[in-house]
Order: sequence, then C-alpha cells, then structure tokens
Amino acid sequence: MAILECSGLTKRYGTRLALDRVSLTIEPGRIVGLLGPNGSGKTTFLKICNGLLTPSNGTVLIDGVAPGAATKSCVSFLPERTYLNDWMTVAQIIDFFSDFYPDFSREKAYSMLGSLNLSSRDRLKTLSKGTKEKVQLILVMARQAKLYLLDEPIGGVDPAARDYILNTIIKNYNPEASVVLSTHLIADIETILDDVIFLKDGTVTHAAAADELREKNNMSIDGLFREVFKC
Amino acid sequence: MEFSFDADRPIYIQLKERVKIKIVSGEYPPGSQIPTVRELAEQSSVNPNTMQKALSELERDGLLFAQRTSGRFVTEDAGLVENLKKELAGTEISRFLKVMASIGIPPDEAAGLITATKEEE
Amino acid sequence: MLGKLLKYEFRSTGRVFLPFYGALVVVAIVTRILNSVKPSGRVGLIAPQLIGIVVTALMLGAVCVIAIILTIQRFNRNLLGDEGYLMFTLPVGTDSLIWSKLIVSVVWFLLSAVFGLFAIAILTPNLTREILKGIGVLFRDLFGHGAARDFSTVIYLLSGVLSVVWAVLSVYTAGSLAMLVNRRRGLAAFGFWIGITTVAQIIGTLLLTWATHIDYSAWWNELSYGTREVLGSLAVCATALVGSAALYIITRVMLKRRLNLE
Repeated sequence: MAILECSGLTKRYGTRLALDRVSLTIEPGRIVGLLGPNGSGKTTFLKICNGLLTPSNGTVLIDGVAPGAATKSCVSFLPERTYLNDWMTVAQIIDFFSDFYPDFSREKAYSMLGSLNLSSRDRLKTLSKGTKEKVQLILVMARQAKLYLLDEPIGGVDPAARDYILNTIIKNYNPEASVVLSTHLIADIETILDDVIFLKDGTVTHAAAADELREKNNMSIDGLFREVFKC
Repeated sequence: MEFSFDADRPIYIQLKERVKIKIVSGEYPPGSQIPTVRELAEQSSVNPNTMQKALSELERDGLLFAQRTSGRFVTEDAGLVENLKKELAGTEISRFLKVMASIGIPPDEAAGLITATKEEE
Repeated sequence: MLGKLLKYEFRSTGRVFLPFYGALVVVAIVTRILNSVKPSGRVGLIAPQLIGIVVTALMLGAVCVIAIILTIQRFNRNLLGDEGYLMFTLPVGTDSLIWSKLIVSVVWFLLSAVFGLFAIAILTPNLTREILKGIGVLFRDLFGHGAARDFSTVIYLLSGVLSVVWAVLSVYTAGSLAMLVNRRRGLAAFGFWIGITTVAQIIGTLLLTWATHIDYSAWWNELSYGTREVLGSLAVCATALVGSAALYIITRVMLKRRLNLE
C-alpha cells in the first residue's frame, strides 16, 4: 500500500489558493524531494499530511488512513520552526518523546547527541537556534516511523551538520518507510533523492524519479529547477 | 563522505562506473564478495535505491552475480573483467586524444609525450 | 495518553504553583509568628507585622492572577503557538489535549482557593476558628434537612465547580476562535472573550427572568418545597453544564477542523 496518497488536494486561504488539486502517490522505501520556491505550498502540503491543517477539498491518506491520532504515531514531522518548550532539558524532551511515541529509540537519540557533541543536560531555553534545530532533527530521526516529513531540514544548519543530516537519512533508510524532504536548496541534497516533486504555486509540475529527469533533460535537478522556476 | 557526484548525469550511471573501476583495478577481485547495498550507499553517501539500481544493472551486464542469501559477488569470468578493463582504458584514451587534438597535438606526438613524462617520474 | 498529557501538564504548571504555594504558607507562618510577639508600644515592632499581612494579601492576589495567566498561557502558547507543532503531532486526540489542560487548570484554581484559605487561617487563627464554627452551623443548616436538601446542596457545589470550568473554557474558546484571524490574534482572543462573556451574561439574565417568572407561577408553587429545591439546583447545574458543553464543542471544532497554527 502506498505510504502517502493524495487526490485533488486543495487548500484555500481566503482567496489565495495555496494548493491546487494536488494528486500524488509515494511508495514505501523512497526518499522524495518536495521542491519549490518559498510560498509554493510545500509547508501547507506537509501540514495537511500531518493533520495540522484541514484541506479545503480533496483527500490524503497515510498508509490508507486519513490523518488523525493513528497516523500521527507513524508519521515523524520536522517543522521549519522550533517547537521545543522552554523549561525542559534535552534529556527531558527525549523522555517526553519516548513516552508518547512507542517507536522512539533512546539509544539512537543519545547516540546522535553524542555524534553532534550535544549535552543532554542543557536546558532547551539556553540552546542556540542551530542547536535547537539539531535537537529537533534528532528527535524526529530517532523514531522508527513509516513516513518522515522534513520541512527545510538543512536550511539554517552549517555545512557539516548538513552532511550529517543527509547521512543520517541515508543510514536510517528502511524499505518500508519513506522520507519526504521539502527544500529550496536543491544542489545540496539532490544526490540522495529517489524521486522528485516540483511544486509551483500549489500545483505539481513534475513528479518523477530523479535519475529519469536527469537523463531526459540532460542536466541536474538543480539545473532543471532553475529553468522551471525562472523568475 | 563522498559528495562528489556530477549532478548533471544520472547518479546510478556514475555509481556503476565507480564499481566497474573497483572491479577492474582488483580492489574487488574476481569471485570476491562486495559489500552490501546499504554499506556501499553509506560509503558513497547516496540513496540505497540508487545504489541498488546500479548494482542490478551490473548484475544484468554479468559483472556481478547474486547468491540468494549471501549477497553479491564479482564475476569469476576473468575474460569479462579483462574486456571491461580494455573498454574503460579505451574510453579514457579516446577522451585523452580528443583533448590532445583540441590543443593541436596529433596522436603519435601524444604517445611520445606519454613515454617522456613516464620516464621523468 | 490523557494520563501522560496530564502528567506533563501538571509538571509544567506545578513548577510555578508549588513554589508559590510554599512561599505563601511560609510568609503566612512568619507573619503569624511576628504577630504573636507582644507589641511593647514602640512603633517599630508593628511594622513587620503589617508588612507580613500586606505581603500575604499580595501573594494571595498574585496566586489568583498566576492561575489566570497560566490558564491563558498554557492554552495559547502551548497549543496555538510554536509548541503547537509539537502538541498537535503527538498521537493523541484533540479531546485529550483539551481535557488535559482543562482538568489541570480547574485543579489549580481549586487548590489555590484551598491554599489561600489555609494561609488566611494561619494568619488569623481566632477569626478562623469563629468562621469555622459558623461554617459548621451553616453546614448543619444546609444539610441534614432531608435528602432533597442534601442533594440540592451537592448539586449547587457541583455548579460552583462547573462555573470555574466554564470560565476556563471561555478562555479556550476565545483563543481558538482567534485562529480565524491572521494577525493580532492576542487582541482577537480578548475580543472574542469579551463577546463570549457578554453573550453568557445576556443568556444568564434571560434565564433569571424566566426563573423569576416561574417562581410566581401556580404550578411551581404546587410542588413540594423539597422538589422545588432539587429542581432549582438541577436547573442551575444544567445551565452551567450546557454552557460549558457549548464552549467545549466550539473549542473542539476549531481545533480539529480549523486548526491554523501560525
């Protein structure tokens, strides 16, 4: 069964159409890039898949089920913003995740903390923005979810951490799970993508395997992106 | 961590080339077992699916064969490997000669330059 | 899952309340000790006692304010702010999220009342003793006049708790309705809250008028005193219940179908 299947997904904010009849399918075991400029609807799409937003029209099914408490236990979402609270320490937020998500692995979380040289005793309030983002990434990747939705995971991070994030995604690869990465920094990530979806003003303009697009257009995905989204 | 792929060309083709080089150079000797898809993907920092596609095609080409539970092995057909070596060398030589030609050095002169450079080293 | 949410909610709010309760009790005790020092006529000795009383009173006021602020903050910041991205992706139902905050808020309000009374009791032992005696009399007056009276008294107490529930829900409903606007949500929430309380007041007045009307009607006065007591208390309770349910439903619909985190 497809991990994600949406059909005619539309989201309207007043008169503005953020998503316009988006239909796509994501099979398990794929690393998918959701590519588009800012404001193209990527975040809106991810929020709908998470149940954080209700669509104006159309349906989306995660593993055959509409977004709800059940799908949330198999979807791991990394939003663009920091959602950590103030008063907990890193260790406490790990406990929190461990408490609520049965698929959360503390060993993985602590091992990643170690690789990134972060202390579990720091208070979340005192961390820099970059460090908070790393912590959030660890919390998301330490889960054994069926669908990982990462909204701009490499945006505000330094290049070394960027490599670490991409390598973690590769290492975590599981033929039964899929990763959807939304970003506008394509050159940095395109070598790890299986499939690519271009989102322009809420519509899907391209949805194909990355290498297929490379062969057909004789250029990198980054190059194709620049062409499609020329200003 | 190798992120040095040319994104203008399909990644799986580049992965095939790299494995071919390893076979031909003897890094993966004939009949030996190569690392798993996951290990190779991690080493090259690529998507395991892409690596899988590359290896499957090499299997189809006869350079690798899969043993059901044990993994993938390099072909024992030394002749095939030898042919591949010649093919890769040929491609490289053609490319070299084309560059030489573009700077105005005909093939014979190029060959002479090779011998001279080799003796210097 | 609700249990887990409750645990974290109590932990997060307890960090603020418990030290405050502790400080409140300490201040009350210290003031009480100071008070028991006989004044020797020198003005200097009166000052600490006065300060003690003032500080205790201020802290009592502060506890109320904190309870209100935390109710607002926990809902608006933890659910509708950035933290909402965490809370709403947890594998819990919307109802659990609302209930966890509602229960914890109401508990703290009730506990604050208890601690407040406790502090007052420490400060004014004689007065308190008299008041307790009076309450004892009041209780005997309220209860023990038959099952109908006992029952209706309990129902009235329940209505009291429900009114706290209603007040908390009014904050939640106002906050969730504010998601309908895109900017200046804080102001919108306040506006909605004024709207909700105004509507409630209007409805309340209408109901009271209707109740007074009933009080004068013939069929009502034909019922026994006990029956009238019970019906009266049930009516009050039902109003509080219906009002709370209405607010809960609105909040739930907003959070489930019209969730719009910034």
